Amino acid sequence: MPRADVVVIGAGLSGLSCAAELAAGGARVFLAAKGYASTHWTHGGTDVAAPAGARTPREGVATLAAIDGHPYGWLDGALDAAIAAHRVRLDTAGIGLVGTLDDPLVPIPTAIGTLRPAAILPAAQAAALEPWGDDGLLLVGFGRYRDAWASYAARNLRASAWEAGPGEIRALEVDLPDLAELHNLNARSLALRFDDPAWRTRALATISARIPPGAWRVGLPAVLGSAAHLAVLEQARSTLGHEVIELPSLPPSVSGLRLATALERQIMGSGGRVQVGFDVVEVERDRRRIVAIHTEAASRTLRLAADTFVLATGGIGGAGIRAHPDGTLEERVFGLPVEAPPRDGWFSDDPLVPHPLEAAGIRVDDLHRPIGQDRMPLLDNVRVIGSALAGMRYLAERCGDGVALASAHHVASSLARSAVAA
Amino acid sequence: MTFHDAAAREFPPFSTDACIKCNVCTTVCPVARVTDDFPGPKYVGPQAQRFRGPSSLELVPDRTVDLCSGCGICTRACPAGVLIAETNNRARAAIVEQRGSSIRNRLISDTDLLIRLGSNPLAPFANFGLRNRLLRWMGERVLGIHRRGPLAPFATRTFRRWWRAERRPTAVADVLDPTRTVVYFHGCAVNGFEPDLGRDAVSILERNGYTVIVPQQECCGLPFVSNGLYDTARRKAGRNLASLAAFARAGVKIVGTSTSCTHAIKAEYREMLDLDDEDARAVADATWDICELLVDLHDRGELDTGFAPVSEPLPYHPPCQLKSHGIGTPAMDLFALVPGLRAVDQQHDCCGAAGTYGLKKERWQIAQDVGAPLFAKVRAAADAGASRAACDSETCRWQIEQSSGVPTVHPITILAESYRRADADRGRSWRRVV
Amino acid sequence: MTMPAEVDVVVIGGGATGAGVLRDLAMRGLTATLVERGDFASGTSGRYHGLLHSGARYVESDPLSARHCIEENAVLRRIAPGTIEATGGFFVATPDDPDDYLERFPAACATAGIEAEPIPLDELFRAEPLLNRRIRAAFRVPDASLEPWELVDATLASAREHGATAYRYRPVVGIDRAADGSVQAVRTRDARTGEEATIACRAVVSASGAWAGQVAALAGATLHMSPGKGSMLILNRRLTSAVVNRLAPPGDGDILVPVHTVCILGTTDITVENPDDARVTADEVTALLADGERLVPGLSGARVLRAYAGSRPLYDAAEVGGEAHHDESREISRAHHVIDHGTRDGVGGLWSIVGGKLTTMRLMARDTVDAVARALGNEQPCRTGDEALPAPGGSRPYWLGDRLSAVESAGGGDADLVCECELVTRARLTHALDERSDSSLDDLRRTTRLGMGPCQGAFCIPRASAMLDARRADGRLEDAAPDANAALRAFAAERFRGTRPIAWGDQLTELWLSAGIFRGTLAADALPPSAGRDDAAR
Repeated sequence: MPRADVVVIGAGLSGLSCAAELAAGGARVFLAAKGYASTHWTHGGTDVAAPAGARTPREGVATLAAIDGHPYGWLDGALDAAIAAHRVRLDTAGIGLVGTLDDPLVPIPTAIGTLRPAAILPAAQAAALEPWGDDGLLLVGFGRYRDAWASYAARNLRASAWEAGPGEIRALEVDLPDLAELHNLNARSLALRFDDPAWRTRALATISARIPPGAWRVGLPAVLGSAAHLAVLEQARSTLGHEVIELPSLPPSVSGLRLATALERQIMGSGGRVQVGFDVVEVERDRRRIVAIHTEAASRTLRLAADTFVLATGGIGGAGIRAHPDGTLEERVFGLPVEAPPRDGWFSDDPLVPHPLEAAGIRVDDLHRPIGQDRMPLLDNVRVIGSALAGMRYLAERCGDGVALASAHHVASSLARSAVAA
Repeated sequence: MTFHDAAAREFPPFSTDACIKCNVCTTVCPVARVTDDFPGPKYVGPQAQRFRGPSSLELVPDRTVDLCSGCGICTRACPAGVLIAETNNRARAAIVEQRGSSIRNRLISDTDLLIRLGSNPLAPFANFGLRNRLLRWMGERVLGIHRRGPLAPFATRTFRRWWRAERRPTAVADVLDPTRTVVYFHGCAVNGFEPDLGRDAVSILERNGYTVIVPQQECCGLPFVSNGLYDTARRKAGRNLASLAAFARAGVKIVGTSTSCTHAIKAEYREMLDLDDEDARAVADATWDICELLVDLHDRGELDTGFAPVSEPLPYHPPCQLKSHGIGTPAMDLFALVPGLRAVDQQHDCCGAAGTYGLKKERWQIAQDVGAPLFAKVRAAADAGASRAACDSETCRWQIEQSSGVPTVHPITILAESYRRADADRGRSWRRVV
Repeated sequence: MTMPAEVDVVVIGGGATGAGVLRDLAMRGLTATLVERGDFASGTSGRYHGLLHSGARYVESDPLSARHCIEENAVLRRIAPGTIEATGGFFVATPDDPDDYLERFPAACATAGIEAEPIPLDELFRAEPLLNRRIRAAFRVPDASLEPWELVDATLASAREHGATAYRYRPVVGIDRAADGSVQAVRTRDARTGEEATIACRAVVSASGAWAGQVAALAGATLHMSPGKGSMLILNRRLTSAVVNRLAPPGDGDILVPVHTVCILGTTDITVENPDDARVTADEVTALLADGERLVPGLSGARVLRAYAGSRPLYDAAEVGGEAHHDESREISRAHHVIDHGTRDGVGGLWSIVGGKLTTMRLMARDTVDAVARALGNEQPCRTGDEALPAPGGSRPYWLGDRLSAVESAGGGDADLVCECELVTRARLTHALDERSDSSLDDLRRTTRLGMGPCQGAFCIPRASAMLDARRADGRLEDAAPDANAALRAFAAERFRGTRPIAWGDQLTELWLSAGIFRGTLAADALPPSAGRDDAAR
């Protein structure tokens, strides 16, 4: 395998974004991942920061930056450029990105009828950010799609305290054409159907015919097309005659799938290589430098030598960090020390509240090199980004995407700078 | 086998323990993309596996797993490391063991037999049969081989027969310097259908300083594996291992032009057929895809990079079997060395052929639908000036060529052509080995 | 639901024993009603390892219990085949098991009337490829896997067919006694609505197992139970096709029971004060895994889905002194005891049935009802062993592949999988809700296996909650039924309780995926306390 400038390990939001930025800048990039992960599981929005009390993402970032050891403590400066770069990539892909760090965090409806705070969303979800005025929210479920619960969601939203929310909330269950006898439809199978112009014309007409009179924004399952998303979205708006809002639900997340596919294409389009499906099984090390990693292969291994290795393997959720029965936590590629609470303090009693273990991760210096107890770098040419980082609670703080993007950009731009300097 | 051994060796059905149900595999399956009849890799893989007992004596309760084409994309996409496609294949083998296999599946798996029947001086007659609509229609009615299933014409002389006629080396005794010798595993495609590709491969290897040996070998067994016919596959694999092991132990690399055959030898002999002795491991470790080997030579500065320009756009499809090697896309690295060649990875999941899958009457449409976007891309590239496409696996090549109408070649064909042009340009006579 | 004002007998406890007692009473023509503080089979019956004992486990330590087990094993196979998977069972001698036990085992089995057939080791390993290759000897015994929820369900259904009634979520708050000390009524409170009801009766049977002491106290009687906490681990898949027991005196981590898609590794035995103490400690998990390694090497690397504990209804009969009972066993035993609190404590009309095994539930019921019926002047013989339970309990035995085979072809909405891991279709869940429309998600789990697979509810909880809510909106739920949001929160919490002790490796990753779904995408932490109504205007 020809030597790369940078090997990025991991195909989540941080790894893909970092590789895309590096490749676009002309670096020879090889992205090696064990599999796909977080992008396919999440809502596809851009959660930057939404701790309690924050009115905008920027305020949220400031709050989090004040927490000792939080990555925003040093990444807040990288955020503007990171979001801007992300916006360019998403615009190019026809996904779009609406909202800025200074826009208000507003409650947006979820598939189950709760409200979550958001300010920066892909185009398909962005209509939820606009002030509701007199508009009503019409939630549409598809008869055969298990993961849209329009009526339940509408009842929950009506029971919730939604300040300055829609004037009216209604639900509609629509049976789309040709689906009656099919098996276990999921978000991807529906999105592929929406990619088909003939079917989606009929489907959208079926929905349109059921929409009651009034000024609505129509909440639809987040299945509005995969490859043809932009066309589907536009056709949905024009056929229904209302703004539409995609409501992401259970995995597979089509919103996230679009994002991952777009970023992967951009990496490859810039001459980068992507190999998904093979775990790192061996590391060649020369004192504090990684010389090469080896990924598993059908026989032997694939040796990937590079100047820099970006660790973007995720935390416990992405299995970059693995917990053992004895309560130890292992960083799976380089065996880096993992900062974590003691085993008996990992969890809260309620599964729906934050667990102390969520803050577990790898400590880094301001270049994102992993550090030890003495705060000195353990490896000089390794950079850790994304949710492998210690000190953040991506669910409780709703900061996972922001930290992923900011750390990816911070590392990509500093590597580009040092390459120019060299 | 104990659970511990099995888990350590990644015995496929046990890897399903790691499934977290996240549906990533569901989003990448090309078969589920086109047909609702296939419930998808999560369903027939780790999910269904919990309803199949640990003992092979138990009845397999499900049949839809047989719609899995075995492309392996799910296995690679899985973040938890579940060997989904491999588990499916085991389940299919258990179904075959319990309920038997069709004559059709046995026949289309048996490429050695087909080549014996078809690849001889009477090949024109056989090829007439392959092209004849009436005969193909009958083949579909009687055998269940789709009348438009991608089949390549037989060669009039097999590669092996040519090799013997040329009195080229075949034995371990022919190994002088193991580091400068390779064994060529030609596979059935080169032997019976594309002997020119074999000759190109040999000339490239020789040009780069290797002595090439073609020892006794037969079908790698993969078609039998794919059709759940493990016993026959094991017999073929066993004979290949017996022939190849001596070379592997002598330090000779085994090189193939079919990413399907080489993957079978590297991985499937152990993972699927449980052939996990020292011979099998030595042979697997010694086996290389030819592009992988050439890139390795290049990494070490030993590849002859005197490629003459081939100024054309080249749509390239890295086949699923190549991706399962975990060696990146070495053909792309080599294409980058050819001046003027503008190779573009088509970024499409699967061509649909999946070995014998696309030949079957009841699977042909699925295979076509799976590959349709690729065929369209290749046609678009042809409209934009490409005269041909490239792909490393034979059945994929035939599928792309037949369904897109664009001639599709092995990457080696292009490299050999570039070398030949270079020689012609320099007035040297690097003669094509004929 | 209006409870009866007066019956001959009130049965307290809706586990297997209580259900069996109710059925037996009803079949003898006595009027009877059963009250259960939680869901049916949610106590010890629903928290055991799922074994239909052959009795071979007790041939040495407890021959009477062994004899009961093998007799009742045959009876249950006859009357409730649909609750049983005929897995068969093995007793295997690992290198760590005592030689003398191995030597005595065949004769002891023969004495107890249990067929224990020596099996050549190659045959054993062919059937069970993952077992420890250092196993020295093996015997095949008629163990099987028993589905407790189905068994209790079918038993109650039979009791209802014979005129009895049964109520869940009705804890007993008092037992009223007449001047002579005998019981005359049972007072209950609806756990969900708070409504109280009094049922006049001539007799009370406490079938409350490990909680029998607390029930007896309500009537002023004293009964010292020694609840034995038994912790078990649920492994993601079957590691064996048959039940596998170690050929050794009963101990921890000595049995693997394949139950539906999973197998259960059991069981610790720790005497606890409070039968509600179901916490599984880290030490227990470690001990179980270490012992399980002896049966299946590498087992501790297998995926563990949950840990749970049940409370054995153990009772030291020696404490009773000279009570009149046919049972001669006087050591702390797995055998059962019918305690007549009239002769023992002066509380006439109160019987407690304690000890015993789920396998012997029908026999326990028979012995109890024999005593109660005699006291009430009823001379009818017991017929519970003669009549099959209604389907599905009474239909053919099931096999592991049943559900997969059944959902293979059907498409359409009813065939949609709500719970993908356990292949619970919308139709199956709807049927369960039709049967008991006041069910929580956890109640539905017991009869459908909802949420019992690897994802532990990550996908099915919101789907099923939406179904509950749709039924309420359609007016098809009882008022007592939990609200969909409450059901969601409760079930998520319940699933988490079982995952937490074993949250490492894949199961921790799974938990994180689940957290991402619930808290990230769905923001379920922000659910209103209860779902709104359609008529509620904003």
